[in-house]
Amino acid sequence: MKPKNTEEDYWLALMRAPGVGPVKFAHLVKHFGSPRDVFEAEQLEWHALNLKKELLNYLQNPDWYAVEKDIEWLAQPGHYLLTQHHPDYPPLLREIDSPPPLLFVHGDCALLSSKQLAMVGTRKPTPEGERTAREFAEYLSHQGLTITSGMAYGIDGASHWGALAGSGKTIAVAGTGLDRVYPAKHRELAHKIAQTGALVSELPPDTPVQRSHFPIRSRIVSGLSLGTLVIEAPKNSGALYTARHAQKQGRETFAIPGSIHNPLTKGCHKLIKEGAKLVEKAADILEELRIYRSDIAEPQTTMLAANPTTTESLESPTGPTPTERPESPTGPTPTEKPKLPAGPTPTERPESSANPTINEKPAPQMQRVGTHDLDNDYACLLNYLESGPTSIDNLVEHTQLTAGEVSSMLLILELRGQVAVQTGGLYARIE
Amino acid sequence: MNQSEEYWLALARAPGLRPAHFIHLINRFGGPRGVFEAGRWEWHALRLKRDLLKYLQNPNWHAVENDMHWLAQPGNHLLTLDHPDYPPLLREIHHPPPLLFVQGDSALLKTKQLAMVGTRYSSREGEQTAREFAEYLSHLGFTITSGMAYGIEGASLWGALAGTGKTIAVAGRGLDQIYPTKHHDLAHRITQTGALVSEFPPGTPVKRDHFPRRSRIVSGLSLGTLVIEAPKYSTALHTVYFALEQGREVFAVPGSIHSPLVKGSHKLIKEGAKLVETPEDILEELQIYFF
Repeated sequence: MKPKNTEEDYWLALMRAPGVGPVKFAHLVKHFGSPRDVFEAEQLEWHALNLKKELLNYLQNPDWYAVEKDIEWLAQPGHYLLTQHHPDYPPLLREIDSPPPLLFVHGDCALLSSKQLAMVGTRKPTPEGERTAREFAEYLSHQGLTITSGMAYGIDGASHWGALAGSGKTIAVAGTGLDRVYPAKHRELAHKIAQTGALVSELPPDTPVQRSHFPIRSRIVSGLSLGTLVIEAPKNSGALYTARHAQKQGRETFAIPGSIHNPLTKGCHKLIKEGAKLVEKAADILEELRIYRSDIAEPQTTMLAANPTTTESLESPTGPTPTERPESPTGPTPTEKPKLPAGPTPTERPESSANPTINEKPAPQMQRVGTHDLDNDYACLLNYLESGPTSIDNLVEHTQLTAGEVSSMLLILELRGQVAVQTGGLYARIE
Repeated sequence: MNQSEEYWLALARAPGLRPAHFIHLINRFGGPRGVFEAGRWEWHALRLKRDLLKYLQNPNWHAVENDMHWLAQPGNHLLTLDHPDYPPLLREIHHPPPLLFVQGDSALLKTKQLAMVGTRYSSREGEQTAREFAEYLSHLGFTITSGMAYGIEGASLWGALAGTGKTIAVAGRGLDQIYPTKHHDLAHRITQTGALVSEFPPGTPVKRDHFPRRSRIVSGLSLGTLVIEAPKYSTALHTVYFALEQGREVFAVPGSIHSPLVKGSHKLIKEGAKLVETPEDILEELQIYFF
């Protein structure tokens, strides 16, 4: 063996060992200390591990010729190798189950450690889907996210193009060696990505296209990213692999809904049913990934707080939505709470279904009304209502009474004609 | 003639008396009749509003007589809160309507219902979805309940009529009132195989604030509410918020993110409503009530 072999050479050599995938690779390195130690170990030690014969043969006689080719490729400007021990190896990717031992990179190596969003989808999207991908990618790249995808036709390609039109920060994970472009029609795309983004592969330069590589590649796409956004995926789309990997890796999953009559959204809808976040606009993603612009308040997510302004804080890349037709002239606007008070008043609620109304003639509260303390409470309530119409919740907060007490007091005040319920469930004092 | 019914009807016409007050008063006095017979001293002890006091002394028996006349016609029914046929799911809600006027098959109110709501300004696709879902779900054993607005609601009711015919329309006016001409035929068809329901006595014209009240009955009668096409500020969302408050299921059909007609639906899904692609998605969630 040539003494000039570097550590990198051994990494490259071990990666080419037959039957050694990421798991075996990690196992061997862990056992011996480093790839070099694997090769330099005694035959006895190899045998102790029960290695297969062809692997044993390879370890004795590694393919240094191929390694030399790899080194040649790596010598070209903009080409890098990141081994798992390299400080620039992307930290999020290191966290996943069986991370790739090596990454070949063509382009901006540092980008791999930036905050990324994976965007994936079908190879045969609708024009609308493609446009959505482009617009989201462009907008989100301007918001500081690197857009990561698999460079396939359709949504993948549109996402890359969108990011290139934005900040230019985009990562394409290839299912081939980086000395070739697949699909060939994406040659120009690959070229552009290498200029402002990065092409990445765990496969050495001369590796041809193989179907089996694509699902494996998906785990890198999702593994590099904080979350995965699926735009148009039919039921058995390959894009769903990426989403599955993201779920397994504990990353966020996002999906864009569409018409239930469009087969291209079946996969997305399935993901949403399983818990993926429904995405209508870029803000939905930023919100979840906690990349807030400083001027944006943290959104509230309570079910009943139907305040639409919270989700509208960031405008979507799809531009201003067409003005919506007013739904109806009637009733309160949905920004207000529903009419019924939230706090239950158990004493007034008919409990038994058999005879709900005719029970307990003297209602307990009514007897308490006369006492001095309660009068004080009423005065306090009326006093607070002086300042304008308000909700039960507000009153509860300011009076230290329970929701039940407040709501039954309001009921009595209303019967007396001292307060009135306004549309939207707000209580107002009337004189 | 049921004397008690007349007191229910009379109390229902008391000015400014919302369901909460109605229930409060009958609980206190042991029934509507008790309220009227309690006498001035008791009323004053409650410090009731002046116009209410006046009314209690001098109820509108003439209107009650008209109600009774309406009820005497075939197919017209009154369900008071203490009536054994009063729909049990509706009785569970906060301040249920004390009276329900029904035209058609009143037994339908106790069946398993799915509320279907959506915008008045629906797309053709949305209306088709509503019709297809309603027809299919009615065959699965659901009664389809809705308001009788244009758009999605009307389409849902028509869909159910094309299915088993079991459908309930909740009105925001008295049942003797004339419907928008476009829905004249629909109302008529519903009384034949389904039921029209209103908490408002005959003669009540439609009013703005009747719509939220109607929505709470639509959701309150139903195991769940399905939203098909609701823009951001749709009144269909009222029904949903009532459903949530009443602890019922909420379902929503998604659509294109470029369509303003589904912004409300998407918001609901984000907040936890179940995304629905097929009627089976609904059955899956509600089938525990069928066995």
